[in-house]
Amino acid sequence: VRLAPALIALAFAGPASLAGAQDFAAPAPPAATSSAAAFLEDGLPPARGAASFEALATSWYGLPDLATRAVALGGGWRAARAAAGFSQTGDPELGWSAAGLGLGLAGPEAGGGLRAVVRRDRLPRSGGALDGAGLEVGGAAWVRAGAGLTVQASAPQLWERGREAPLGRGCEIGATGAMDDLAFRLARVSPRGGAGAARHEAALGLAAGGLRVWLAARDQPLRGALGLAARAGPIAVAAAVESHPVLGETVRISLALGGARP
Amino acid sequence: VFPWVRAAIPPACAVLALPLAPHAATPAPCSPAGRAIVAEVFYDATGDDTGWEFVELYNPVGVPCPLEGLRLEAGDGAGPGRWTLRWTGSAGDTIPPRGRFVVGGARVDPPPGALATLDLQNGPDAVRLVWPDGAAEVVGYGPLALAEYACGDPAGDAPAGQSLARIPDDAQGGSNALDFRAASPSPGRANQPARDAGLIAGALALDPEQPGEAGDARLAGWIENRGGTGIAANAIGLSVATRGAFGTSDLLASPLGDSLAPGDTASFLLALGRLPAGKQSILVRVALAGDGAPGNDADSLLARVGAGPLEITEIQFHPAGGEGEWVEVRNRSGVPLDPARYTLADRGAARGVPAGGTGPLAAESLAVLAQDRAALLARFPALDPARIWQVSPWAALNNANDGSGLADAVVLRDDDGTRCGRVDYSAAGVPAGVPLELRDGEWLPARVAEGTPLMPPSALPALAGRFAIAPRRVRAGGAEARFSWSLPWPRGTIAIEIYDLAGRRVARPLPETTVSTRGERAWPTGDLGPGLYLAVLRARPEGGGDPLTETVALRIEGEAP
Repeated sequence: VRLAPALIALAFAGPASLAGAQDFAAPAPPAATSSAAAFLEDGLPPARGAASFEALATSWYGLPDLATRAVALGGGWRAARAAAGFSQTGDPELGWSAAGLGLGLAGPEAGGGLRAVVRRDRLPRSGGALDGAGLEVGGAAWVRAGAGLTVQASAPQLWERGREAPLGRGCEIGATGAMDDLAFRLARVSPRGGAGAARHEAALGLAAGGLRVWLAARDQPLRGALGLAARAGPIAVAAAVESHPVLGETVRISLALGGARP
Repeated sequence: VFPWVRAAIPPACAVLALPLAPHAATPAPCSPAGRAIVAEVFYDATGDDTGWEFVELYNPVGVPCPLEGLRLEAGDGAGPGRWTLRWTGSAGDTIPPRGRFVVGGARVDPPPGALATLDLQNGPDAVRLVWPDGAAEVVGYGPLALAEYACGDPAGDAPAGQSLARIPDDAQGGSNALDFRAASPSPGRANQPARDAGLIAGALALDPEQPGEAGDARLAGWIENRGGTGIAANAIGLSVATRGAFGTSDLLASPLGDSLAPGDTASFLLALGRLPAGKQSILVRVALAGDGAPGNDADSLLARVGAGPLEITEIQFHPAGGEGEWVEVRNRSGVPLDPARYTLADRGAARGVPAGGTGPLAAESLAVLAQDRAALLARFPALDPARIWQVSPWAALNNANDGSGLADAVVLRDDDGTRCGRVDYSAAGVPAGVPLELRDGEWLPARVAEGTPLMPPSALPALAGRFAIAPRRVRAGGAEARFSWSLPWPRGTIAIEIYDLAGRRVARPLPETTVSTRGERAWPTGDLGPGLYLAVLRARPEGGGDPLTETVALRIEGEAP
C-alpha cells in the first residue's frame, strides 16, 4: 500500500532526475531527511519543519576562481515548509549570484515542493537590471515506501527564462534506505534534454552517535567521494571531498544550526 | 638520271639472298631484298644533337654486303622532293654477314664505321638508302603528309634521347610504323637481343617523394622484356643502391617474381626502409643471364631524404593589398645559397624560376619568392629588395579547399628537379588576406594580418601561468575562444578537453598533439550550450617525464527561450 505514493512520486518526476548541484550544494550523507539547502537545490522539502540555518562553501575542482558560498534558512509550520537562501559563485568575470526560494508540503511519510532560483551574472555586460539574469523553477517529491526506504524524484529545471543556468540539470530519481546505523542512496540522473548518457550514483553511510561517515561513487567518469558529518546539539558540521580523475577534488563544507536530527 | 643508277651492279649480298625473298602472302617489305637495311636511326639526342646522331645499317644475310656507292639521304617532310645527301659508301665500306655498320657523329659510342655529320631533323622527316642500282629504302617518322617520305605509315616520332629502332632487327612488316619503335640507342648492337631485360627509363618513383629522416620509403619502377625470348620468373635480379655525400650504400637485392613474355612489362615495388639523410642518387640495376643489351639495365633517381636547404616558412595565397602572392623561405643549410638555383611550383607541373634578387642568401636568412616583385615592394617598402625574388612563371595558388580538404601545395625543387620541400595547405579557417606561417612546427594563420615577409613570426607574449583561455566569457552559438599554453619543457604532447561543472567531458578541442613550449590554438565553441565549463590541458614532456594538468574555467552565455 505504501508503495503507491512512491510510484505516484516517480510518475510526477517524469523522466527522472536527481541532478548535479551547483548553488546550494551541501555535503549530505545518505539519509531520508533533507535540509534547507537541499530544499533549495532540489526542491525536496524536509520532513520536519524545525527552523534551521546553514552556511555552505564549495571549492570546485580546486580552482581558486571558482568557489561557491551560500547561506540558507528553512522552517515550517504544520505541513508547510519554506526555505530561502543566497549564493554566490566564481570571480566577478565568470561568476554569478543566486537567490533561492523553496515552498512545499511535507510530513513524516511524504513531501513535495517547488523551488525557484534567480541568478544574475556578477559582471553583466550592459549593466541593465535584467541583463545577465535568469530564472529557473523546478519541483520534487519524496515518499517513504516502508521498510526504511524513501524514494525521491526531482526535476530542478522544469522551466527556465533569461540567462541559462551554469549547469544544465536533468531529472533525477533515487532511493534512500536505512537499516539501523547503515544508510544507502542510489540515484540516476538523466541527461538534460535526453542528450548523452545517464549518470548514476551510489552512497553508503554509517552512523555512530553524532558522527556520520559516508562513501559515494559516481560515473561519467567514475569517481569517488568521502564525507564526514557531526552534530552536537543544534550545531552540525559536514564535509565531503569528491575526487575527479582529471579535474581533481571538489570540497564541500557546511555548518548548520537547528534543523532536523538525522 | 643519276650516275649511280646507270652504274648499278647488284651487290653480292643481293644476289645470294634472292631465294629468301618474302612469300607473296606476306606484306611487301620496305627494304629491297638481300641488302643491308636501316636498323636504327637516332636523330634527337637529349640536349644538343651534335655528334650524337647516327644511322645503323644491318646486313641480314649470310654474305658480306659492300656499301660502295650507297647513298644515305635525309628527307625534309615539309615539302616534296627535299632529299639531301648525308653520306656515300666508299670502296672499303662492307658489312659482314649478320653484321652492322654505323654512320654517325664523333660522339657516338662505340665509334661509328663511318663518320658523318648527319644533321637529321626531328620528325616529321625521313632517311633514305639509295643503292647504286636505284633500289631504295625509306624510313619516315612523325606525322608525314607526303607519301614519298615513308614506306606505308611512318614510324612514330621518338622522344628526345631515344632512337627509332627496327624491332626485331630484321622486321619487315610492310610499313615503317610496324617495323620501327622508340628504344634506347644501341649503335652497333642488336636492337632486340635474344635476351634483354631493361628498365623503362624515367619510370622510377620514390614513395614518398621526399621521405622524412625517420620514415621508410618505397621504390617503384617498371621492367620490360625487350628480348626476343621469354624470361622465367625470378630470372631477373634487381639491386638498389644509393649514393650521396655519405658515400654509396647498397640497399637491397631481390629477384623479380614475374615471368615476362617478349614485349611484356612488369612493375616492381621495393621497400627500401630508412634511407640515409640528404640528397642522393638512387641507383637501380637489373641483372639477367645472357642479357644482350646491358645499356638499358640501369636507371637512377635523384631524391632527398629529410628537409632541403630551403625551408618554406610563410605562404600568402590570397593577398588583399594588391601585393600579389608570395612565399617566404629560409636558408637552413648553414651556408650561403643561391635562390635562383631552385624552382617554385604549385600542385601542377609548371616550375617557376626565381630572378631579380641579389647575391646568395646567407645562412638562416629569409627570402621572399614573389608573384609580383614590384607590387610586393610597393606594399612593403621596408623590405630588403635584394632578398625579394620574382618567380616566373608563377603558379597561382588556390584560395579555397577542394574535395581533398586541401587548397593547394607549394613545392620547392632544386634546379635538377630534386624536391627540396613541399607544403600542402588548407585554406579553411584562414581569414581573408591573412597568410599562413610556420609556427611551432605547425602551419597557422599569421598573427599579423598582412603577414611578416622577411621576418620571423611575431613572438607570443609571455603567459602568466601554464594554461589560459581568452576570452573567459563567450556567447553561445559558435563564438571563438583561444587557448594558450606555456610548457616547462622545450616540446611536449598536449591535449585539451572540456568538462561541464558536473565533471562530464563534453568536447575535445585538441586531441593529442606535439607542440613546442609556447603556443596557442583557436577553438570555435560550436554547438556547446550555455554553461560554465572547465578546460583542461593535459601535457607530458617529449621523451617522458612527469605529466602536467592545468584547468581553467570558461563561461558560455546563452538565453533560455
